Amino acid sequence: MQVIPPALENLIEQFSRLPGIGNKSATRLALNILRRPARQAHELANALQELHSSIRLCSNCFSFSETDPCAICGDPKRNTSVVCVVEQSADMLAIEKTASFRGQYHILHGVLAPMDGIGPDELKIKELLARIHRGVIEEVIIATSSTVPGEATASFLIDLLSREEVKFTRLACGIPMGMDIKYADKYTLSRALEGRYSP
Amino acid sequence: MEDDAIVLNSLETGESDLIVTLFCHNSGRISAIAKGARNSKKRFVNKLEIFTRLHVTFKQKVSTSLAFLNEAELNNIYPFLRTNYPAYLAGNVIRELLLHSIRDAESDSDLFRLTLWAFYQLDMRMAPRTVVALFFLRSFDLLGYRPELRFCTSCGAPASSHPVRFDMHSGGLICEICNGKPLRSPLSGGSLNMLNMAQSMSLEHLDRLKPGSRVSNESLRLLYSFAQHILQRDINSWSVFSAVMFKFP
Ligand SMILES: [Zn+2]
Ligand SMILES: [Zn+2]
Repeated sequence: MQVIPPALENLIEQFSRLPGIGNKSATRLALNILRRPARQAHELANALQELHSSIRLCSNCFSFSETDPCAICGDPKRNTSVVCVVEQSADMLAIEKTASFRGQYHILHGVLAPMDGIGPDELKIKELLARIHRGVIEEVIIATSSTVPGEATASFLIDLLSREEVKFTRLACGIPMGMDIKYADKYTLSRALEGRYSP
Repeated sequence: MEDDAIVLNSLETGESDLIVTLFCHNSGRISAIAKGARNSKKRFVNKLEIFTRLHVTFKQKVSTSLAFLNEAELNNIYPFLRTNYPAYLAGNVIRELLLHSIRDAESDSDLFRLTLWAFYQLDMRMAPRTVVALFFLRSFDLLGYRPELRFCTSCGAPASSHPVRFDMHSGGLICEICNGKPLRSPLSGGSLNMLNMAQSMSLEHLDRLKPGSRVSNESLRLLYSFAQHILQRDINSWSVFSAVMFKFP
C-alpha cells in the first residue's frame, strides 16, 4: 500500500540529500510546503531553477557570482596586490563582514581530504599559481581554517608558495576573545604565544 | 565508561552536533554523538578532530549503537600531522585502514598501541613512507593475516635460497622454482631483510629501522596490494599518498 503520494515522497527524498537534514526534517519541510499556497511552491521552484543558470564562478577568484568578474574582483577600490585564500565562499563572506580586509579573495572550493579523493588537483590551486604568475599579487594571506584538513592545506600552500616570488602570511591562531586563558588547551596557548605581537 | 581513544573520523550532524568514530583502548571502535560540539562555547571545542588522542567519558545505550559522549580531555594533537603534508597523508592512510578493518566494540589493545606508535613516529618526523609500511606490516599481523616472509609458502624453502616474489593469495612468498618460470622482478634482498626485521622486532625498537626510500617504496607497494587483498577494497587516501611518495624518492 502506498502511504505517501509519490510526488511528496520525491520531495522528501530530495530534501534529505541536503546536509544536516534527516528523513524526519525532510518530511516536515515537504509537508510545510504542501500546506502553503501553490504560489509559494512555484517561487521556490523558480529560485532553484535559476540557481545554476544565473550563478557561475568568477574567473578570477572562483567565488559564486552572477557576474564575471564578481563584484569584489570588479571593484576598482579593492587592493589587487593582496589575496586572501579561503576554503569556501562562506569563509569569504565571514571575512567580508569584518570590513577590515580590502584586498581580493581566492576560493579553493574545499580542503585536501585524501579519504574523499581530494588532492591538490581537485582544488583551485593551479588557478592560484596562475594568478600569482600574472605578477600583480604581492601578498597571499592563507586563511584556511585551523582544523586538521585546513592546516594541512595551509602547509601544502606554504610549501608551494615558498618556491614563488611572493610574500605569504598565515592567519594568526590563538585565544578567542572573551576567553579566560586558564581554559585554553596547551596547543592553542602555545600557538598564541608563538603568534604574539608588540602592541 | 572511561577510555583512551583516538579520533578516526568526525562528521557534522544536525545544527551543532558531531558524530565521531573513536578507536578506544578498551572498547575498540565506537561511534559517539557529541552534542553541541560545533558550538564554540561548549566543552568539546576543537578536541574532536581526526588524529587527536583523548581521554573520553561516554555512555553506551543498549537501544542504539550510537554512544553519548560526555567529556573529552585532550591528550595529544600530534601537531606535525597538521603542518606537514606527507605526514598528513600518511595519517589518513592509517586511519582509513583502521576504519575499514576494526569492528564495533571489539577491543584490540595491541592494534591501539600500534596506532599510537604510528602517530607518534609521524609526529617525531619519521619518514611517512616508512611509518605506513611498518604500520601495514604489523597491523596485518594483529588482524590475523601475518604474511609469511621467511619461507616459500609452496615448498618451504628458505627465502634466501632462490629469488622470491610475494603472492597475495597464499599470503606469503613463492620461490622461483615453484613459480615455474623466471621471476621478472623478484623481491629485493634489502626489502626482504627489512620486512623480516620489522616483523620480529619489538614495537619499542621498531623506530630503529631506517630503510632507504627504494626499500620503503618496494615494501609499500607490496604491502598495499596485500591490504587491498585483505580488505577486498581500495584505500581512497592511497592514490594521493602514493602519488607524493613515488614522485619524490
Ligand atoms: Zn572574483
Ligand atoms: Zn618454493
